[in-house]
Amino acid sequence: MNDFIYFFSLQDPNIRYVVIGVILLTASSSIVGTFAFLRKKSLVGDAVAHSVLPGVCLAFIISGTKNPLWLIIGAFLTGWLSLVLIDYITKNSKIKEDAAIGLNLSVFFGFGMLLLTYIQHAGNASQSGLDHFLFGKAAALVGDDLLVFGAVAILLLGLTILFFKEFTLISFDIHFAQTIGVPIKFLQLVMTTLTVLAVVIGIQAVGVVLMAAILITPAAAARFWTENIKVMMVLGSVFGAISGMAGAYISYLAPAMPTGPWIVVSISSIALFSFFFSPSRGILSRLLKQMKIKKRMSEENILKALYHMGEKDKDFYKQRSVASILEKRGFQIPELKQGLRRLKRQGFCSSEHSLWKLTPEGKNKGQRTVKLHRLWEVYLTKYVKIAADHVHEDAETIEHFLTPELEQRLEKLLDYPTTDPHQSTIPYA
Amino acid sequence: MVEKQPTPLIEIHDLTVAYDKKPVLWDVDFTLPEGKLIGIVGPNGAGKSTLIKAIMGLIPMQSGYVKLFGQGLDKVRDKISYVPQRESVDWDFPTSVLDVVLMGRYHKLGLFKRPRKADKEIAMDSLRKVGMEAFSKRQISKLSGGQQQRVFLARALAQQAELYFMDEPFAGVDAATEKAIVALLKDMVSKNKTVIVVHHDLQSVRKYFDWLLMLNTRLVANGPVDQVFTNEFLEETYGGKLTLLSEVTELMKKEELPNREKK
Repeated sequence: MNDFIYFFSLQDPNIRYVVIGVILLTASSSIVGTFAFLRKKSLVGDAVAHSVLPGVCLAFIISGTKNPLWLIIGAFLTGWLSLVLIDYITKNSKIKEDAAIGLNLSVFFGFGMLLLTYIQHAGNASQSGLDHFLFGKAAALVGDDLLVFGAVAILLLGLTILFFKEFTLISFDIHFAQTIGVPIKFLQLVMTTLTVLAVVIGIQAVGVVLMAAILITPAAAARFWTENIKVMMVLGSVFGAISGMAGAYISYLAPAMPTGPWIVVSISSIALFSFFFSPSRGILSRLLKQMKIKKRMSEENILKALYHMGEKDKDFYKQRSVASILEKRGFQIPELKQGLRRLKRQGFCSSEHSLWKLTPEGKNKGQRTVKLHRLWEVYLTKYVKIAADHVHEDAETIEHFLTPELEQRLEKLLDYPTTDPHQSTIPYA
Repeated sequence: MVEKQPTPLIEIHDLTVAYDKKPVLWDVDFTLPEGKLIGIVGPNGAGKSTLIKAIMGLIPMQSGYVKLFGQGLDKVRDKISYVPQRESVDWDFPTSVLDVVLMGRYHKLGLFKRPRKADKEIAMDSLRKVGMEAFSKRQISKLSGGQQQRVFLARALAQQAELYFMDEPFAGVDAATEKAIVALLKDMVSKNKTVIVVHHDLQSVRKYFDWLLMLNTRLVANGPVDQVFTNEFLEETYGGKLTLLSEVTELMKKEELPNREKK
């Protein structure tokens, strides 16, 4: 706990540099990443990240220093060149975008590794630490780095706010944007430049290999929680910042732990959590919804079976055993018993000595399901011209989903028919 | 049959467009009049969508020129609205109906500026005209196909243009929506707007359009519906491609021949 307070009070200047640095990096790259994600250009970030390595090495060879400004310029140049090349290859050859990205990524990265090996064996003492660009080294950030990062982050944020309207338009409907005279070439260039800039500063924290994760994952996670692009952007950068801090904190607690990979683990956990637990788009909520529908369908099927039996015996309120219901319709036994218990709680059934009977409300509900089933069968045979022996299966599903409004329209359209295609009477309330 | 008009709203001269060296439109020449509801029909792959995309500058032309209101496209963009095919965008985009319709106001706003109250009122008014005002705050991912098409139409209305190009506005929409859209288009034409629609369903041609452009890689016919919507032209449009012509276009693709010799 003391560690926690010491760390997050930011008294220690080294901790301060690292925490502020990673927040700047992760938050600004997730803002840019939002547009990359929405334009379905997620892989592009990965290509840029790998392509900056030769630029970093070349900048070091030419300048002989590890001054971040030089390295950023070098990284920017090759990152940008790579994107232009991807675009050029896609437009002027039969190679599709995904292949062009793969091609560029590996060629640039391979060349970068070559240069890196060359530098490491050239005996220049100041080269140590250059390999941090591979996996990042957020824990080694110093005051000078912050100045550069801060400046780039402000630039990214400023340009994004300035062009927000146009970026959104281009991401949603680029053809329309073009027809109203939006300068799409220029704006695409700005977007590309922002992506490269975000990558260039981001790799200092997580390295080229993991960069795509902090560019795209925050946006992907945020998409699960909102339907508003502005909220998505803010949420994404909050997710980015949280995982940045988490990564820094973990590597502070256990100095052997690398910061960058832990940032990626944290943001991936947030994304995974969103994937499962988001209320509108999460897997869990979808499963719950499906379970609810299944429950409702089996309840309605039980009421329908009881109604059918009542129709046959001309007594809707007769007490019936579980076995006799099973004879009428092949339910799973637990499904039937649980369903009957739920129906009793809801007031549609009552029971005495394990014998079940419909309440008047239950009879009405069962009757409505039967009516919908038979009306739909009439509709299918009369209007869709499906043979009478094929319509039952369709009606089995549709009977559970017809809204009262559709029910009314169906009744009117068919003009209240009295019998279905199998000569069963259609019961109106 | 190609009818010439005295004051053409649209003039297309010798337009040739190719995808991957293969011509999709070949030497197309026509003029269209003002204040009409104009249909473009032709079989699949006839170049209907390509034609309006080329007119809107979305794809490069190999030859020819396009004049709208007697001028080049860049001078008259404010007077023109383009409605892309509904499937051309990803409707699972995190934005609302009103925000999409407001995009129709962006050309009036210019860079950096946010929509003003007046723009929002125009957008709401456009939504009302397509019967979607109740959906203004709805997320676009929750719309049905017909509703999506109405939103695109509302965006076009918000542009307050004179000339409208619509790429298959009736594709995949319900009958009620189709009826509503046709009524709206007729109303626009009665106010002397010109609406050009890429259309698929030959059954409704006579009922919907005043003027018809029949296309099959080349221009087959252009004129008032009752004059050009005849068996003869229909056969020429739909009766299969000209064998020799399509063989030559395939050859151009294979040999990567340039469409026009560079001068």
